[in-house]
Amino acid sequence: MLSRIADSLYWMSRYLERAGNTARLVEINLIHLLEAEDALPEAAQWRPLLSISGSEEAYKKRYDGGEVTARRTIQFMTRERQNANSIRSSLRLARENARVVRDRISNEMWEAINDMWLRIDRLLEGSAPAERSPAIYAEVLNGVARFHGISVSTMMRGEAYGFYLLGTCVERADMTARILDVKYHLLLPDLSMVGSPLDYYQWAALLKSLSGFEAYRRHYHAGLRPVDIAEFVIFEGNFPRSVRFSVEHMRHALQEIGTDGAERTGAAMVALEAHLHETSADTVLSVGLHEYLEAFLTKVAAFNGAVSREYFEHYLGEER
Amino acid sequence: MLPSLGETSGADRMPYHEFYLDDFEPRDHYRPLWEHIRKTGQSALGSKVHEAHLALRSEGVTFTVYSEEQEGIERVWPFDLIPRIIPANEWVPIEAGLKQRVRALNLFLKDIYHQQQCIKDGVLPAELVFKGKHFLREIMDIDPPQGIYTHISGIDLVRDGPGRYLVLEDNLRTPSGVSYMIENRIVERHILPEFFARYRVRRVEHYPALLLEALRHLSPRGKDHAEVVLLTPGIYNSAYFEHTFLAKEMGIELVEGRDLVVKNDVVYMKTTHGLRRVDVLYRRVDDAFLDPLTFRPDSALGVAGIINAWRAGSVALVNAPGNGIADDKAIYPFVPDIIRYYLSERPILENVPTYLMTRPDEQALVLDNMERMVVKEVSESGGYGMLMGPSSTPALRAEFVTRIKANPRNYIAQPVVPLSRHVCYLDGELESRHIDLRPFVIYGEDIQVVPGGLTRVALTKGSLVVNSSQGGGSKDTWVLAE
Amino acid sequence: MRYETVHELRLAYSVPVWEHHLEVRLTPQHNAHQHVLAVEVEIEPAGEPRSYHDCFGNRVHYASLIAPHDTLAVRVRAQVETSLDNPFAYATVAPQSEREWVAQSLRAQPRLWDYVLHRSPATPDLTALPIADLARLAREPGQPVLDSVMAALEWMGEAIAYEPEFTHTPAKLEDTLARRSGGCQDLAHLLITIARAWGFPARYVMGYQDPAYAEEDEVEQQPHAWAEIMVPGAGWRGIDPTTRLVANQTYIAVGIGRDAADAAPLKAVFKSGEEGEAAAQADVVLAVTRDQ
Repeated sequence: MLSRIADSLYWMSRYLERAGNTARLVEINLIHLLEAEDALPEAAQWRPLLSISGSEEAYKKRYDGGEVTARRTIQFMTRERQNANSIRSSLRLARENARVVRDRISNEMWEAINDMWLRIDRLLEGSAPAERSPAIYAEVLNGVARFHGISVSTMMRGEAYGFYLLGTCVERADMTARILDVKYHLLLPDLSMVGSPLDYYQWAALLKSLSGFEAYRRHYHAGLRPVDIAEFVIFEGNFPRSVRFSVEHMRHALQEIGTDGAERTGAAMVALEAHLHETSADTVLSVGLHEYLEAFLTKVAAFNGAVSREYFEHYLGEER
Repeated sequence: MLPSLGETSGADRMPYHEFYLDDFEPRDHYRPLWEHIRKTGQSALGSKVHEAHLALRSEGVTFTVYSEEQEGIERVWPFDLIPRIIPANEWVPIEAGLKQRVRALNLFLKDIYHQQQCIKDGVLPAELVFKGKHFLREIMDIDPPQGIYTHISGIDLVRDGPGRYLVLEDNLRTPSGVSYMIENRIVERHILPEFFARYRVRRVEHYPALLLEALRHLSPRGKDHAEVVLLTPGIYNSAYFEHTFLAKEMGIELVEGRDLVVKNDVVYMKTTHGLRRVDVLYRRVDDAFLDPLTFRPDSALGVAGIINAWRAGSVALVNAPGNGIADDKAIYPFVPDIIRYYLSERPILENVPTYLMTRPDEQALVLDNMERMVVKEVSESGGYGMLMGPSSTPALRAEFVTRIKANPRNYIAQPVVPLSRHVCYLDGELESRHIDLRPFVIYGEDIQVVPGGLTRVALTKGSLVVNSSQGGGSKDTWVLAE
Repeated sequence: MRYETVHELRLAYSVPVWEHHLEVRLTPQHNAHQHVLAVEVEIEPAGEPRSYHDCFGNRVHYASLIAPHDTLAVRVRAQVETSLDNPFAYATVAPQSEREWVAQSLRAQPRLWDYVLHRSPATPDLTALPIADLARLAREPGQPVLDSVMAALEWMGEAIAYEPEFTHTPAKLEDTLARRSGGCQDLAHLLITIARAWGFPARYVMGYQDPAYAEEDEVEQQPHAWAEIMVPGAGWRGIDPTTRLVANQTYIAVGIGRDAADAAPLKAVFKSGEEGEAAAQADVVLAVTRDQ
């Protein structure tokens, strides 16, 4: 298929996934903090979100080096146009990419994404701080879920479907690793603290921001233990938002796409699978979770670069 | 010879009515339809109008109107449910005339871009060619595949007072409207099958198949290795619906300029699995924007190097670049002579009488009778840059007089032809409006004309302007089988 | 006379460029009075130049450089033999028959019309220019066109001071007249404009002069520009407004066109990133040597 179309399908999915993940993150934080009894300062509660989405620099620029407050962060991550990773920006970009591929996706898919964008843009345009109400995040999550529901049930399997799936999974793997990395170290800054009294609510919040709280509790019966949480989020192949699940589906997506001649992509895929293979939560924790996740994120970036180079821009190199 | 204005007086200035013979009776070929409408009742037609609008909207049949605001307004294609019917015997000379005209214009283009024998033989002044805005000297001496330039033509026809079909304008660059022609048929058949029951109507939906065949015929690698693509300027183009429609119907890839790259004189598509060679490019991008290396360097819509690839014979471009000189309004008055010169035949279809402002006696005649003239700027299209004498103000006429005197080469004038009228169903009433006809001619292995074409309606009462960008409508067009 | 010419263009871009398509018009003309014995065109980064002849008769070399790069070098080497030792050796046409001779040429070769009708900011309508003593440029009745040309060159010498710097970017002629100075290409454009006002086909030539011309003025070798006018009985004859000479075998014609834009040595388009335009720095190296 045309490189430009594949590029847009891939990024439509990545931006959509980003919007959904960000919505979930902000929502959980909001809800969680409504009830919090702890005395964590506002900045400490909200800075992790900026760090997860890599928006700390952008935030500093927008607020002129100012302090991190709840109101600002929520605004920044939800509706801020100058933040390329805000929910609004992500949805806008998802919809723009969808428009490019409008003739290749079904009418219903286009309408789902277009309607969602128009509705949420209008809601955010309003004078009332809509972002402070959890309702808007539910809207986003519903919209994203609806889009995926329609796509999965109406889209012809094949290359186009492959790029749509690939974009979703790459973003999901990336986001999940970031959330775990940042939040884990918030909660457990130092290995010596393993076994110390846990903040049940913080761990629960982490799992909820991955939509995994109920699933986790059904799966593990020993309560919220860091090693179990790490295992669940990284290695549990049956949990749809785990890193392993996303990586496995990236492999499926590549099969739909076809990897003839895409050697770098193939190698990057193998590297990602190897990163998850033959290791366990125990090993990872003892060696260093942060290092493990950071290495993983580097491999995801390499994968993304290879896909861009070999599927979207290869003509700049050799003709195949 | 100067057609004297006297010939266009009196009865000639009454518009021909296509539907009605006189105040009470329909023409013979409309009788079955007329009886059916009377029996059904006008109000029943009202719900059909609504049905048609819904059908067109859900099919996404739109066109975009651009105005001061940046975002174009997407409008549902305006469709009138009373069909325009052309009896078989009326169509025969039209079809023959169209084929003749396209054949002659194609020979003209080949000549103009090679030996220029017609200039040497004095058929038309050299100045008109060399100063023509759309004359592309950059393509001189290039031999397009099969020697064809005008692969797809839209020849606009009108009927004068006595009902003669005349050519109003040739469109040889990127003529549009064929998708609407097909959609009109689909919708008409869907909402009013009972209309069709009384007639044998010739089909039109094979146009995409005909076109694809003609395109494949041009492939430098032969018919069996023909990668055909449609080049669109993109979603902001007013005819974008037609681009997606045709690409889908023909089963070919729809591409934009940035999807293509020229390497060593071959045109390729950038795909996820490598460069894929293109053999035939049906391009709906204007000449000036087609190749930033050869034409406008600021164009982001084209493909750099494509003209050189075309010259090298590795790709076919449809329509060929450079056709604009043949549908130039300044050349239009010479087309009957062009037909005679290249084919040694009498033109079957005549032009609307036309005066050249570069001819002193013709200019004088026109300037004396501005209220009875349509004055057209040679380089515009879409109905802008035009003076409609009868409905203009003295101030506007005076302005045009000044413009004509300052730059006579840029203007032609025609006595107002009262476009024929037809019955339309508007706001619950049957009313008469002016119409024209754009048939489509495909030049492939041979020249073919799809029966009928797009009938355009000037929806504003009394208006003679039919272009969709200025509020025109359309009808399904039926050519009857024997 | 036999010459060896080397013309080199070197460009550097401030950011990488790709999908770079270019056309080079640096092959000397090949005609009755000038034979190209050999020509070699090199383009770096590697492009296999192909060629065609454009509508003005220039041999055009072109290439597509797709992968990203940030420099471009074009090198054209040629061996040329010129033979017009006496540009006045032709059967003259009586002044009263000149008009008909031109008309016949136009009838036989309609493409010549381009050189009569073309108007651009560099070669506009003579009457549209701010020239106070326009009457001086009217031809005298019964005057052969070459004489009229010489008279016009005199007038031009008073109206415009010559600037030795050569640039390929044509200036608007009205600006040249307002400044009362111009380079050789501006003078060429002015002469062309005058000749066209008289109804004669006239065109622009970019080319080289014998190195002896440069030595006289003690300047570096540069490309040069002059005009060609269709002279009845002779055909195209080069007229150099800078030296006020009729071109002979010491002039090597390279690019021709209706004005300088048609004869531009390098025409190129490319794509680059959004980080600012890829401004190019160009160096030109020219070496013309006469074989003894």
